[in-house]
Amino acid sequence: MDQFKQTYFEECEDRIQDAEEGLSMMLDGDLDKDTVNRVFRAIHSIKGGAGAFAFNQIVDFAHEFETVLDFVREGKLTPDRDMCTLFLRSNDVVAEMLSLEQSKKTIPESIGANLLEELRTITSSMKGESAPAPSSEASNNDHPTSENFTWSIVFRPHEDMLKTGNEPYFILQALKELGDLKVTTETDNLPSLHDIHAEHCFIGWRLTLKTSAPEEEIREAFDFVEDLCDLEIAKQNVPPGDLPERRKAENRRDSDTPQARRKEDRDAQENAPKASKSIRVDLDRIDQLVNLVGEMVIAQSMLQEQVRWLPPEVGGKIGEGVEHLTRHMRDLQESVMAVRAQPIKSVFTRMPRIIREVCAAVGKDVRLTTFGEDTEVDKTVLENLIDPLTHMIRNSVDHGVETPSERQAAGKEPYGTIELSARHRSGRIIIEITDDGKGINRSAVLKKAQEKNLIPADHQLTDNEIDNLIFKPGFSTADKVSEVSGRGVGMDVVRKNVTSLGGRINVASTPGKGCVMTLSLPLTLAVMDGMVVSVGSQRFVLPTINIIESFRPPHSAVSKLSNGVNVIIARGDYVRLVPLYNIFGIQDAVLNPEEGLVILLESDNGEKLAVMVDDVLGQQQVVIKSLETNYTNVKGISAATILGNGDVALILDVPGLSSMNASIDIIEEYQNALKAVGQIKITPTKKGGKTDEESAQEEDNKEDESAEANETNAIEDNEDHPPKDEDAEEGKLTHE
Amino acid sequence: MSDTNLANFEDDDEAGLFLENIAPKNETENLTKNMSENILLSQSVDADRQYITFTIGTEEYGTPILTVQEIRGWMKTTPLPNTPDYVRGVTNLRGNIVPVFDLRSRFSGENTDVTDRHVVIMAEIEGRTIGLLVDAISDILTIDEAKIQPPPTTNLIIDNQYLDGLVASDERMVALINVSKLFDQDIIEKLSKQQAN
Repeated sequence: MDQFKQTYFEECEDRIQDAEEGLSMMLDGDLDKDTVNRVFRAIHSIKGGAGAFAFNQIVDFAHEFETVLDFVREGKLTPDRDMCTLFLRSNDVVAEMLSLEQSKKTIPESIGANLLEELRTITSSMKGESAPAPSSEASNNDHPTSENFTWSIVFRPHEDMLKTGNEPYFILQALKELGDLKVTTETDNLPSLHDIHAEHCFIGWRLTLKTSAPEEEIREAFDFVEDLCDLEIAKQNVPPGDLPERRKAENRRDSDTPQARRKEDRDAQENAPKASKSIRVDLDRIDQLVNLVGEMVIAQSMLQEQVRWLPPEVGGKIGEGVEHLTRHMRDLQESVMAVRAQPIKSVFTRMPRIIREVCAAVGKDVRLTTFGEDTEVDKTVLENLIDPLTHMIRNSVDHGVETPSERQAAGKEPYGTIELSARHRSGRIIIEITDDGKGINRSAVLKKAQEKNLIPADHQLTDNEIDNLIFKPGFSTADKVSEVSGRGVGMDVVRKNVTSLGGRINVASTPGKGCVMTLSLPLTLAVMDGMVVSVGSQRFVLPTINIIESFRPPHSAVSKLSNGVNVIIARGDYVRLVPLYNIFGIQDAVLNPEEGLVILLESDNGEKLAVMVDDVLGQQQVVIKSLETNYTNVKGISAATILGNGDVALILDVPGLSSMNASIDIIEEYQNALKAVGQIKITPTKKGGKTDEESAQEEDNKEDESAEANETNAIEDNEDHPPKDEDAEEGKLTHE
Repeated sequence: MSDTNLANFEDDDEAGLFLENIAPKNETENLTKNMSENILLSQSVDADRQYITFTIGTEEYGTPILTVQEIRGWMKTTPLPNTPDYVRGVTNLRGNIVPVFDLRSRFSGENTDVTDRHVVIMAEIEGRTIGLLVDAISDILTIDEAKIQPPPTTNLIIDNQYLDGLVASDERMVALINVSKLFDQDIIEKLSKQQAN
């Protein structure tokens, strides 16, 4: 039973969202029949399922809600903005009841009590206006009858009906509530015990129901099984002995009652497109597929590497085949990823509810507009996005947008606007939350940060740096700890969550005008394009997306600032240069930048950084494997991958690298080492693990290398050395 | 007391040879896995009380057999930058990235000079798979809990807090180590920070 409930709750989640979307459209004035129908259908289905599981409170509430929606559907009631808001809140209540029911908690009476009252008021006022409706069921008022009819119903479930989780007993029970029910069981089709299949349904029922309820209501009991059984419902006005020829359910639908016709329309809309367009697949299966494709990518790169060593007469054809394979692998991998990709809509549609809740708690009026809901992103990313985004939205309402009176005093509209947008940009998804509130109070933020010793008192910060202080752990500017936010665990947790997904977060504020929070996340957590580089005997992978160009700089392009930071001139800009051998303590690397390669990188926030490596080995797709599964995170490393030869290579974390340079004081460490041997001259050194003799020797080597540099330079100039990274790779291959 | 299914190795070299010679390297893992399964099946003793013992230098250590996933010959690791010396790096265990720790280095600060004969024990500790680099596998012991003695304050190179106890077996002393304490994530992080400073 529990597994059916689970399916029900999953479906309800979709329906609640569906209803919410429809209601939001209604709120914006779209009272199109389709929109209203969509909402009605969603609520109706929830009610139906809730009835099957005897979630009575949900049934009662959904029923009132549905009744009012029915008036709208029939055009008897035109909801204004307030009423739409009431509907939205009612939808929230249904969602809340469902989630309580799902976690097996009892639903307190208080939930939705006043909303229920408001809905009932509307219903009773409508009843007063419309034609006399003596029936207790408001939705039946176009079928006014108190007369008892006798209905004869033949209900023969198809063999596999039970598999869908429908329980005939509940259906019969629902009918019994409508009136006097007599049940005869048909056992004609029952096979011998030997042939019986425990999961199939072999029996049918003939029912005689005396009720005042209209046909629609009788049909309602069979709502979920209509396609799974043979159903005949006929009004009995002759003795049961000579029934008129039975009409099949399908034929019956062609009958003339308006309800039947409308229902048919509804079913057509509901079933036809859904059934053909999508199937539900267990996520585990997709994950398995993704893993397999990941393994295949590794195997394929292994093949590719081996083919390179074959003599051309053998390797030619095979190489061609491998090329094809590579292309297909890429397509396959993209297709598999596309299966996991989902529109961000499912996250965005949660936000209006959150905004309503927060607004109600803090007395603000905020309207939300969303853009790019159809932007697709990997399901894992999507799931992990919900919490940070929720928190950011709460924060925007609570801290960003002012109260209506404050806003009016500042000459703004009394209601605030939050814009939520998503778009793809160079292999990442960018999500922006823009509010038109008061912006970040920089002096308050700065003061707070200094009070809490988050930054040194004399530190000079740019405006942007001050804004981003809100992501520091332990930072909260809210004077009071409010229920909504302000516990000081907010934004730093958001940043942590986002970073753990390989994402970045940034805030830009314009005082008085509002602020923009930008989230940038990878589209998938499974595979990426990488450039394999070597440093000494080690290999690293640089995300291709971060690479701008690679080049061999002349010595004159590299210089060192007084604070010990190495910089390089790249296209007229001074960019911080990080020698990887230095920060990673690799012993056997190329020390001379004229012999190695400098790769210019750009992190997601636009910051540029240059790293020095020995060589570029090639570009390939790599499967991302977390280091944190079995170990812990390592600074400057975002994950690991497995190369074609089975070796593990580390994937570099570009923003992490840029912060590493700042965190290591090379000069101080080096000077200490020099003091120990009494040398004064300053040359670059490696971090730790090296004897002084080695350092001195290296220094000599370096000077030798410098001497050779001019020659190398001359050769380099002749060899057209293109700046583009792919070209650089080719250039390298021709070297060989 | 000692188990004969695995064969009783007199010294470390033999244990190393056993792993290297009987099976090609890539099959070693399956072999050892099957081996330990067979042992589990063939014996009616409570697996909880079985320990796999291994040597580092002249000392013998033991760890509960149920934490051991498999045993492999030494494979090249990819070093992790800015980590303590005892972290030998990460290796590819059938598509999983597994860190390998040098137990000798962890105990004494002295790095193991690895050869093909060295062995990595793949252990599952609190949901994480880690590799432990040791000199050789020595034995499988069924240990009566009553015979485990509390660790004395001896001249062992290993800190007492990582020991579950000591056991005498055929006049050898086996120190039962607590791997999860030894490589507790917090401790690792603390050490990494110290190293970085």
